[in-house]
Amino acid sequence: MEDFNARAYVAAAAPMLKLDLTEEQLPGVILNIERIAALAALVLDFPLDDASEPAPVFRP
Amino acid sequence: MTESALAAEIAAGVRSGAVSAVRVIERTLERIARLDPKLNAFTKVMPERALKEAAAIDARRWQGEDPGPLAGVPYAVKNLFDIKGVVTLAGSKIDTEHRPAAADAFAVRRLHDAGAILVGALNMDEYAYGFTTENAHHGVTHNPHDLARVAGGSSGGSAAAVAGGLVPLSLGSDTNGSIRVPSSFCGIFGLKPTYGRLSRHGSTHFVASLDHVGPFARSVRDLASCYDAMQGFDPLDPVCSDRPTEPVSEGLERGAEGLRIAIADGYFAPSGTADAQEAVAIAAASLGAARNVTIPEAARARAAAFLITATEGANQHLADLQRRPDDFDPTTRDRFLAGALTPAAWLVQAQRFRRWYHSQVLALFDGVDVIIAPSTPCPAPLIGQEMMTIGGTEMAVRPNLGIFTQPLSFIGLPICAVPVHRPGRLPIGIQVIAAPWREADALRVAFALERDGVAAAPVAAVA
Repeated sequence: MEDFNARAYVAAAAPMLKLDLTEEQLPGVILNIERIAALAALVLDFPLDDASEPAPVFRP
Repeated sequence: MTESALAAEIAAGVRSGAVSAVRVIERTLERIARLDPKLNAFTKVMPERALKEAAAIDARRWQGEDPGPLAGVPYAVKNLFDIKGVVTLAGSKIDTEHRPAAADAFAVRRLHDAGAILVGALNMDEYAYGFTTENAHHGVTHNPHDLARVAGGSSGGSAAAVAGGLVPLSLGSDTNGSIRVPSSFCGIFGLKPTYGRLSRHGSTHFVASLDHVGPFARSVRDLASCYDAMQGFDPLDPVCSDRPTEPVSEGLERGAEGLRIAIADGYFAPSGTADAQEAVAIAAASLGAARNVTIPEAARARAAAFLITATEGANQHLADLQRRPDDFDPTTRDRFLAGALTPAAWLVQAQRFRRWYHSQVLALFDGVDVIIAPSTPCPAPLIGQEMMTIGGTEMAVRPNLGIFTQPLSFIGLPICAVPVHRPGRLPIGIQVIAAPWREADALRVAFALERDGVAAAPVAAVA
C-alpha cells in the first residue's frame, strides 16, 4: 500500500487498543500489519456498488 | 480385525459381538502409548473414560439394545472441543488456567450417542492460527509419513492420529483450511461441511464468521458415517442451520454418476506447484473431467479471508493481548497483535466483498456440480522450514500453505479433502468442492476416486 508508514501507524494505534508493545514485539507486528495492508489493498481496490451488503446477517 | 481397522470394520465387529468394545479400546490405548511418543498427536489420553464408555457399549449389546452405528469406534478430538471435566486448551498456554469444561461439545455428545468412544484430545496450532502444528507450548506434531515433516495444521494432531492408525476417526476445525491442509499432508480424508451445517457449540472460537467443524478418516464411508452422526440443529450455535438433516452415507455408491465435474484453473494452477497439479490431473483423468472452470477473484477472496481472520481472531483474544502478550506462542503473537490494529473499514469491506464473491461463485454451480482444486501448493514442508517457492516467488511457508483452501471456506462451500494415491511419494490431497448443502455430491466423487484406487489413505508406517 503506497505511502503507508506501518511503524507510525502501529505507534499511533496501539495505545488506542491498550496494547503496550515492546521493542521485541514491534518488528513482528510491523511486518504483519504490512502484510495485512498489502492484502487490504487488493480488497479495497475492488469496486463494489453502494447497495452491496456485508455477508453476515443478524436475524432477531 | 487388524490393530488399525477402519471404523466400519470395528463397528461391525462390536455390533455382531465378534469383538468387545473394551478389547478395541485396550488395543487402541496400547497403540497410542507405543506410537504417540514419536508423533506427539495427543495432548491428553483418557483411558478411564474410554474404558468406561466401552464397557457401557458392551453392556448395551449384551442386553439386546442397539449400541449405535459407530459402536465401539475410538476417536479423538482437536483440543479446542470441550470434553467434560477436561480443560479445553485450544493449543494455548493461557487457557490451561481455565476451569475444566462443564459438558462435552455438541459434536462429542452426538458421537457418544452413536456409540463412538472418545479416547483423547489432540494437538493443534495455538488458537487454530496456523497451518503446521509447530506449537511452542505443546510441541510439534510429526507427520506419520515422514517424522521430519509437519503434519499440517491447525488440526495437525487430528490428522496425524488418523494417518498413523492410532484412531480411525477424529474431529478438527477448519476456518481457512485447518482440516484440508493437514488432510493433504498426512494423506487422509477430511470433510469441511457447509458453513452452518454442523454445530460448533462447545468448541473454542477462532473466527466466528468462518469457523467450521468436521471429521477426518481413512475411508470415505467412515468419513460419511461420522458426519451423519454429527448432523442436527443446535440453537446454541447461532450459525447452525435448521435445515433437516441430510444423511450422505446411503448414496455414496452412486459415485460420480450424473455429476458435472470441472477443474479449477487460473489462481488454482500456478507454476511451481507440480505435485499439486499432478494430484488434480490424476483425479481428473479418473473422473473423465475434461472441462475447466474459473473461480473469479480468488486472490481477492483469499485476501479478504485473511483480513477477517486477522481482525476477528485478534478481537477474540484482545484482553490477553493487552495483559499478557508474551504468554502467546511466538508464531501467533505478532499476527494477533497486528490483527488487533486492523482498521474497521478493511474488515467491513472484506465482508461486503464476501457477499459479492459468494453470488459469483454460486452462479458457477448452475453449470457444474463439483469443482476439483488442489488442497496445498506442495506436500508437507520440513519442520522448522521458513520459506518455499511458488510460481517463482519465494514466500513464507506458514501464511501461504492455505492459498488454495482460503478462498473456498471464505464462502462456506462443502469440501471433501481427498488423498491422491501416489505410491512411494509424499502424500498430497485435492479439494472436491460442491455447492452449499451438497456434501453428498462431494462425498460421492470422493467415493468414486477411492473405489477406482486413485484415492487411498493407507496407514503410515511410523518409523
